[in-house]
Amino acid sequence: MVKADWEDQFVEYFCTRAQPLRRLAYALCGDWHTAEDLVQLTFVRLYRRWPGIRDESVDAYARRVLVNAFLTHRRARRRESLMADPPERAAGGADPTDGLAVRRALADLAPRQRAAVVLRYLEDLPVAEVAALLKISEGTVKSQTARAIQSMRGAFDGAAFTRE
Amino acid sequence: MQETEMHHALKAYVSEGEPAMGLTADAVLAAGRRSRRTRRLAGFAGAGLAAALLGAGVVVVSGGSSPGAGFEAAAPCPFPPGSRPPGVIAANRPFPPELVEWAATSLTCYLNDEVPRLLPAATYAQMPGAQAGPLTGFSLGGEPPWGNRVDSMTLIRDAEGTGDLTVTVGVVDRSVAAREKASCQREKAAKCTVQNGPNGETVLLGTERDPLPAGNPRNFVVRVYRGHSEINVQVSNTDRQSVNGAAPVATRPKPVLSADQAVQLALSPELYLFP
Repeated sequence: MVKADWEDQFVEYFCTRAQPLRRLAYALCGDWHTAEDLVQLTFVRLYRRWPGIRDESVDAYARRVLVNAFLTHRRARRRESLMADPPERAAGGADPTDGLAVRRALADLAPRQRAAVVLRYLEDLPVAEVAALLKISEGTVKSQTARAIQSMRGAFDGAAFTRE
Repeated sequence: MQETEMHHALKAYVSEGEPAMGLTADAVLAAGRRSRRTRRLAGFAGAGLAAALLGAGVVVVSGGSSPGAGFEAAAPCPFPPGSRPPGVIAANRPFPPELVEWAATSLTCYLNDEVPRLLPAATYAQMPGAQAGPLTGFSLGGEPPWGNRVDSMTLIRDAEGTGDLTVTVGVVDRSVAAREKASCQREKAAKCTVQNGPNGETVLLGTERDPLPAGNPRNFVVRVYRGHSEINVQVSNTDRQSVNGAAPVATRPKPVLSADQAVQLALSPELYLFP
């Protein structure tokens, strides 16, 4: 099948953004396999809408689709644990650069709160953009991420995030 | 800064031990094209056969009467279809009227004979929104990919509950089989297996990945390629009705036919309409 011009642009976008989106998905769901499924779903939906999406809004649209797919997926599988159980936490303060500690800390957050944290601190999105994406108020983003940081600080036994 | 540390921790978490990307641009492009085609089909006929393969959506039939009405026994074949009328059959040409009538009658007669044999205790009703009654072939008309195929959409009820059966026989280029087979082998969002039929058919069987949460719909989607025929059989354990604007839910424990029965139905020589 001959590719349309816009399909070339779509492929180019895939090559550039698939990996960052998969990392975002992994931060949300904690499983690479599911992350890849979420990314595929995102790109399929992106493909359907591609000709009508303006260049400057593609990233935002892709993020929104991915996060919504994650939240929907979570609801559909609420009786299951998406995050595979990490090993028991080691005694004493954990290092936040330790992936298992971050994984456990994220797993302890509610899905929407986790999404807020990941969008705010991994994707570096402004509070207003996170609020718009999750359809919550800016105040809620601030309070949820603040609580999340508290909670993650607790997960690390206060050892790391107080370091100045 | 605690927020900076949070950023670094998350960055490290998502990049350490990251496996190689399994997705490719080609696979995503193919899935996107298939999805787009499916949505077009769904918009016209409610027959989103590839949707279940993709795992990206469920066809919802809207409009018409409620699915509780009009379940009856299968009707006998109205008249034998006879032999296929002469004329050119091509993937890019709509059927002439005499071919539409022959193909639709062939589908009707076979389904009304075979499906009650597979499901002796079942009754059948018209799918709301479908253009013809249960186990009855019809054509959507227009240009390909709609005008060169015939469809049948049926709600089926037995002691287990209500499910649905959609059968489509259309004309495709012979090259489509190899392309769809490759696509099936690359499929990630759903489970897709490739089989060979007894007469060299390419048989693709798709279903949702396991484990499937209780209450989730289950679809078996079979596509058989033989000659210029593309034969689709889709069965599910839903009545295809939207529930409060959301996707359909399971209305029986299992689809109305097993995966093996769906494959056997799709392989029936009687559905091999376009050599």
